[in-house]
Parts: sequence; C-alpha cells; structure tokens
Amino acid sequence: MKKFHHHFIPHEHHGVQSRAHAISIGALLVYLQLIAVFAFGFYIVKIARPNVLGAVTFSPVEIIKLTNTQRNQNGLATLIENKQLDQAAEAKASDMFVNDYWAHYSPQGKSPWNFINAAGYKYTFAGENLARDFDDANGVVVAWMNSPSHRSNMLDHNFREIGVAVADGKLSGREGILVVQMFGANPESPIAGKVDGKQLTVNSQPQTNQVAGESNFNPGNLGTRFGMAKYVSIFLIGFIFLLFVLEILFSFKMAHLKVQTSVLAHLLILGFVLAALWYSTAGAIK
Amino acid sequence: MKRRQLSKYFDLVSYVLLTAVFVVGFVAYLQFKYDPTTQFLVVLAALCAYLGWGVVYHHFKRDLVLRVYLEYLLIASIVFVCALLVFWR
Repeated sequence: MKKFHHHFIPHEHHGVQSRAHAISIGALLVYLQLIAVFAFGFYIVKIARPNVLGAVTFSPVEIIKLTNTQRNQNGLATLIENKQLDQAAEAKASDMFVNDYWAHYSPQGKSPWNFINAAGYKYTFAGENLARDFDDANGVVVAWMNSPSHRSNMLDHNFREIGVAVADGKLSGREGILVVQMFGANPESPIAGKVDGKQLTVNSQPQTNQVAGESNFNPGNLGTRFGMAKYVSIFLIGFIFLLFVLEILFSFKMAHLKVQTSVLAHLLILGFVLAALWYSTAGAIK
Repeated sequence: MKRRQLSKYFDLVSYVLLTAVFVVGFVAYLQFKYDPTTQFLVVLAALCAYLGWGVVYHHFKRDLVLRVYLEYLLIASIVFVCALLVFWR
C-alpha cells in the first residue's frame, strides 16, 4: 500500500526526498514514448485509411439546417436551398483544391461572384462564408456565429437562398475538409455582394431560383479525429499536471519535504497548454 | 541572510516573468481562434520561452544538473507532441 502511493506523492527514500514515481524521469520518458507512438499511429491511420479518422462526416444539408436554426432563433426567415448556389459552392471548393488556396479570391483573381454567375444564378445580394478542417457541422456553424463578419452574413435579412458544399481533398499537401457557404437573393433591384461583411457592388438582373430537394446525409463518425487527439492530450497533460500539484500540496503538508524549484515552472507550462488545448477548435474559418 | 533574501527576490522576479510570458501567450492564443497554425506557433513560442527560462534560471541557481535538464526537455517534448497532434492535423 505504501509503495503504491509513492507512485503519486513525493516521499523520502533512504533519507533523500524523492519525487512521485509517476513523474520521475523514467515515467516522463514512458509518457513521451506512448504519446509519440499514439501520434505516429494516428498519422499512419490518417494516411492509410482516411475514412476511419476523418474525411467528410457531415453533409451540406446539416449546415443549411443549422444555419436556418440560427436564423429562426434570431427572428429571420428560413433560407431555401438553391441548386445553382450549391453548384457555385461546389465549383468554388473544387477551384480551391485545384489551385491550392484558401481564400475568398483565387490567385487568378476569381471572386465568389464569378462562381455564382457561372452557375447561372443572377443575384442582387450574395455572400460567402468559408471554413476548413472541422469534423462536425455544428462546429462550423458555431465558429461562424462567433465571428461578427460571418455572423452578419448568416443573419442577413436580405438573403433568401443558400447553397453549401462540403468537400475533402489536399490543400498545401495536407488532407482537409472545406465548407463553402453561398448566400443569395434576387429581387428586382441590382445591389451588392458581401464577403463576410465587405460590400461589393454588382449589377445583375433578377432571375427565378430553383429549390433543391433533400440531399443525402451520412452522419458518419462525427468529431472523431480532432476529439480523440484533443482529449487524449488533455488527459495525459492533465495527469502530469495533477501529479505536480500533489507534489506541491504534500511538500507543504509534510515538514520534512521541500518544494523543488522547477515544479512551479512545470505547472505553469502544463497549465498554459491545458488551457490552450481546452480552448482549441476543430477548424478554421474565413 | 542578505544572500538568502536576494535569492528569494530572484525567484519572485523569475516566476513573475515566466507567468507574464504565459499570460501574454494565452491572450495571443485566444486572439488567433480558428487559426490552428498560428495557435500552434504560439504554443511553440511558449515552449521555447519555458526551456530558455529553465536553463537561465537553474544556471543562476547553480543547480542545472542533467536530471533537471532532462526533466524540462521531457516535459517540453510531451507538450510538443500533444500540440502537434491537436494543431497539425
């Protein structure tokens, strides 16, 4: 019993203060090897079988549904899925993979409006939101709602229709998932387009829109890749952090033990990283 | 006695400095929400500050032995692999 608790609290060994075995140099080396093996295995699985730990696990329909939920909660009308806007979003996602960029404007100078026009949608209002590398639809919509410029697109009362593309491929040599959300409206007056908040004047004629039917939704394994990496890391770092906290507590409690000078520095870096991991998000938005 | 007071003062200044680095680092980290590459770089910068601080602090404390050096290096390596796993997907 005495030996067991020596694994977790500091103690004296032959008259010399000894750190808990679970945070000895040997134990730290074991943790490093374990997490390195886990990271390597994770990488191998990602390369060999991308569908196991990621790839596209949510559908455009889910993004549209969640967007409409946000709009309804804010007293705005439901957006109707439009096939031409879907095509424009798909063409934009494809263009980003082919030309290896992640931006509203392509290196060749193509704007979001080029894709909307090319799909045959004659708009008076249009907007675009982008996201990448999220593992679930809810994460994408929450991220957009947390960003003032993206939120203003999602809650713009001028928009009537929506098109979304969710696609996976390689960007800058890395596997990634892109989400392109296109908004549109075509009343009578020629007005403006918006890229997350920035106005762009565009002249266009009104046109009747098509409404798309239900598309397929595969719930898949939501959030597995990022969630696994995040929580395994939090568990390991949290465990080491807790052992150093115990070391300080027991050193104060037991008069014969002294707090070692490096412990506070270790606690600070581990605490910083724990907070950083806790607040880490699955993807990026633009 | 004077030497002991100086040592306490040195400890206090050193730890306040290290804490300030992490607080600034965390604020920077939150500023780059939804930009995992920059967030990874912020964590990397904090790790470098931690290692550099450790070497300088223990050098002045005259207790920079292999065990201390290894301890810092192993903790930094564990944090690095975890950060790589989470941010570099």
